[in-house]
Amino acid sequence: MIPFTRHALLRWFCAAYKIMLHAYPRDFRARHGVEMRQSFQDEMRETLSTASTTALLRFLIRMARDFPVSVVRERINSPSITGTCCLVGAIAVGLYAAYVDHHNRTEVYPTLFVVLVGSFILGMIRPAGAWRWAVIVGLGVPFAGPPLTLTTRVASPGAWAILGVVLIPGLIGVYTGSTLRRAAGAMHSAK
Amino acid sequence: MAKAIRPESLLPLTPAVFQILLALTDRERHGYGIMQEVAVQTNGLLRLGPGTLYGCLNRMLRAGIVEESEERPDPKMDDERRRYYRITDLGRRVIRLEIRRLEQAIHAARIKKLVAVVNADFIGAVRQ
Repeated sequence: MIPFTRHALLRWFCAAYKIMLHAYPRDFRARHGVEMRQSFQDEMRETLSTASTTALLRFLIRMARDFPVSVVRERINSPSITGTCCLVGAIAVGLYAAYVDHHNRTEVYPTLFVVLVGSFILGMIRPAGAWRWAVIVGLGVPFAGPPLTLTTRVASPGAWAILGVVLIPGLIGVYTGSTLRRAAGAMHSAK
Repeated sequence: MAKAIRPESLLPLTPAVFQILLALTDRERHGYGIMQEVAVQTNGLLRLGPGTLYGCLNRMLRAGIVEESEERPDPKMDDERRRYYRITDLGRRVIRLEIRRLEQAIHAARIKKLVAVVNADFIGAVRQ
């Protein structure tokens, strides 16, 4: 390989790798992005210095294998993706609780049961700041119910009172879930 | 107060984490230095990519088995953006326990008369 081609290849691949790094979670990229680019550049430079096309291909194959595997792993381990899933889950549970509430006008227990179970699962998945899930789920019943069921556009005047009632099983559920999760974690690390 | 982590709770180590810890036992290294040392230690059988290396280092930093080093072996010779990593006391205990676990596995394999076969396979792989 002539030196000019080598230099251009190095520059192009490093620019491409810099863009590819955006696939990693933001906090991971902020912490290790510069070092990863540096390591990539060092290894690429060393590979190009051998002037072997086979070595370059081998290096690129290794990078092509390393990149998707590590992106998926870091995305799964990233706290932000679990948080996003829990947010979507909490909204879904809130909407379902509102639906159940609308179809059981005389019975309050089915709604409370949905809130309790949904909050419990959310607390288990994401124990940190568990109260947020109870609030999001709770808000669904008085405020999402009317527009969801096309009865009226606004919540009833007693919406805040309903929220207060729904928050109780919600908070019980999330904190039971988060406590169990933490206890399980402590037992696992004590083994 | 930070909860003390028991070294046994971090076992077994993945091959990448084991090799990274091993690379850091004699001196502190930066990321690319670790990649090179791992390749030497394993005769090129394990070559870490940046994604795998920094993913492992991230988890190892969180577990407290490695830490960032403030010192630089020779600041004039080195890019100041590089971070150096070193093994912690917990990391040393973890790798010793892992080596003991591997020794027990080899001992069990020796009893089953598998070690000669394993050695032959390993030498064959290295020669390739």
